[in-house]
Amino acid sequence: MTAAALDLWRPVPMPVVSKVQETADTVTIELDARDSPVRFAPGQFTMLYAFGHGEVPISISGDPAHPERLVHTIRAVGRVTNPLVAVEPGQVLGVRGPFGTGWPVHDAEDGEVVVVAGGIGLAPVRPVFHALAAHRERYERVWVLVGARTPADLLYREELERFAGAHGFDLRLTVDHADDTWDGPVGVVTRLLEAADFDPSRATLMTCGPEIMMRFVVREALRQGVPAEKIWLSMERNMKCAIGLCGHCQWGADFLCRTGPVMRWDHAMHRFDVGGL
Amino acid sequence: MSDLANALGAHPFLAGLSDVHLAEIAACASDVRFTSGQVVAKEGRPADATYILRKGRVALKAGPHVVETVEDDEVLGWSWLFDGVWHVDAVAVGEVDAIRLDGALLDAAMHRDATLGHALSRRILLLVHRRLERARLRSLDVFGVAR
Amino acid sequence: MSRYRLDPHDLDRLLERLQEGGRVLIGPRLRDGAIVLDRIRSTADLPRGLTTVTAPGRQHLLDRADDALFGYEVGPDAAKRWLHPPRVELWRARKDEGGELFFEGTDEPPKYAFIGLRACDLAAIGIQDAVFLRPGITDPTYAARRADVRIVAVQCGASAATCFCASMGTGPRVDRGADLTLTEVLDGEPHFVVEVGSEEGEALIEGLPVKPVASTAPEEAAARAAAHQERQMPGDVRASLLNALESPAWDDVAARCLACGNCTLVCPTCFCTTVEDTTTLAGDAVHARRWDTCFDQGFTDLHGHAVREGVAQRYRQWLTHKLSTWHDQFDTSGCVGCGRCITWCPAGIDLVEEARRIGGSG
Repeated sequence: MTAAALDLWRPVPMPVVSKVQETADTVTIELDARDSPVRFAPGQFTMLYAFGHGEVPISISGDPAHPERLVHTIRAVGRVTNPLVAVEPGQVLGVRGPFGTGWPVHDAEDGEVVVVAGGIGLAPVRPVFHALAAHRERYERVWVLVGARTPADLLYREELERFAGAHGFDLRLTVDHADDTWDGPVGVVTRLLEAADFDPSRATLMTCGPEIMMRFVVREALRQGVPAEKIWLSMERNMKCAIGLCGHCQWGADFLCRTGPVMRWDHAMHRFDVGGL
Repeated sequence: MSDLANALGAHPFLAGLSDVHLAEIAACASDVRFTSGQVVAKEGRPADATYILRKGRVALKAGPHVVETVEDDEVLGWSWLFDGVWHVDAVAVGEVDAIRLDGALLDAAMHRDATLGHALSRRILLLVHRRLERARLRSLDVFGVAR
Repeated sequence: MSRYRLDPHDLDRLLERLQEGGRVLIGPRLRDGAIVLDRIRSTADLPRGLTTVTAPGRQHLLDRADDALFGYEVGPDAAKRWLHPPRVELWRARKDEGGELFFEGTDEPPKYAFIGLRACDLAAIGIQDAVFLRPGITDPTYAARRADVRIVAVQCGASAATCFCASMGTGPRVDRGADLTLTEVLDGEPHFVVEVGSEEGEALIEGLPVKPVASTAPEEAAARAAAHQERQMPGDVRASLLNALESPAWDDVAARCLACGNCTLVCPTCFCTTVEDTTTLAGDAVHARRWDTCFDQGFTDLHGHAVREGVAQRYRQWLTHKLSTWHDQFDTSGCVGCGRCITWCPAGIDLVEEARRIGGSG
């Protein structure tokens, strides 16, 4: 067995250096990757291993300019994510990756960028904000349209507002259900898209969230005239290996761990409406 | 055209209507402002107007719950076309700058000029259609865990 | 290809040669009322004088009137069981007292030799090579087992009722992938015709008591086997299934399918796996992979709900992957026409028939 071949399956240990409680069930952790920097494209993911519990795919949510700091936002939804969310600084996790395709941050240059994210779907696009901010002059208007269930479920809220202020992003937030703390928009995220005043012929749209949400977002984007080949989405599937060998993430001929998770709408559209593929 | 007719023609709800139609609508229209917390509509009370929002946010409420907000460039109120009573409370969130279309005057204008009636009815139906689409997405509660 | 004649009582010399250098020999043997592939050491372990009677949903054994060693058709096992084992440890994780995490590899697998593989089995190895030895993605588990393997194939002289390799272009003639190919000749004085398919094959028979022979027995056997085959995969199946993704015909097969996954287990090319994490009494965490099946509802579990919730959707995934999208992924069909999925389906579902019915190929 060659060492290179082994690396595909074998994680690298990395210590947790910080942890931020984002919402009731979601945390952001930073891992020290100085010993094996994770150079990634926004949209890519890693396999995170919790000792004794197993591996799970998690999008990278950090700044691509800092491969020595691996940042993940994780929501506790299952057997492996529960212990991952419970880790504390000093503990060590296993990491493989990065894997998969990234958002079209280069293709989007010289035009407007519209990011539409909902719920935990904000985590995989967070590196896009860093990438756009790093070369802000290459983009026209940048729209960040974010939906969440309640104000308490909004991820990165303060940071997004800081980013929007510092880099001139048009940030719009909406929630499905308001509470006393919220005097902003109440309604679904597609409505932010209806209201955003961008030029559909010059815009690249990136959407990430539950599949049903993305279905409505894409429908609205197409209605506004964004071409199918300028719409990108991130598909989520059960993944066990992330290297195209376990078969779990197949969607038609795609292994979404390799030709996804990020893909263009015109590549996805014919399968999107066939249920249960 | 009057300033009001120009303002109406610039609003997405009425963009593209003819000058004649805009003048007919302007004859039913007046500028209104609401201050934060001011009640725009009250459930069960007579619904006598459509509000075309130019700037600001109105919360549609069922009891204490905010069902949805209506924002800049959107439109609120079409019950005068149907049973004539409001079906939600509507409360200004911050300053609201709007144009009020008087329901009775507009109804009469739509009867007088069937082409106006047709054009406006279509636009109102589109609002209802969009609102229904949003309601569908909302009812799926897509951000919940393990649906 | 050079041809030689080998007497049956000299076959053990070849089996010894195959096991030189500690190579583990895998061949057919009788176990639990079936002919499986397992470790063998000599011809005494081979199923002598047996034949198979095969039909959708069943295979049983009968005695033959002769002493044939390979007088049966394929059983449930293929080389997959050894090259891509049902369960294999990928690594172990260990935590020291300071909380440091260490990942350790597992032991080197043995070197293997196979005897008794058929043309369909060789084609299946070729397909699994395409899956596991892709440029940039080499599966170390498979690569280590596959490297330096020796294969002595057997030329089929008959076909089971469920065989359709001729229509898949994978058999019944063994024409590639074997180091040696044996054709068992039972007429007259029983003997084997040995064809040499590689330099390794040449080395295997060097010094054995074989005599050059001019024989057409292999071609005659293959022709006999081909003539038995009635099933034919429709030629347009790759496109016709993709055009039928939303056909109600999937519901019909779903009503019969038990979603047991037997077809994927006996399929010599199905490669899907899951991983399981367990902890040893010493506190080490074991990360192992094991065969999984796309017929399992949990296969597509996403936060508590399955993407392919219904059996129709899962059957569709299996059939379209095997016969359509496999081409896009690996430039080959995923089916070799061995018929095992038909034989070992408890409901006797026939994928050829389903492909024809669902794809509308008449």
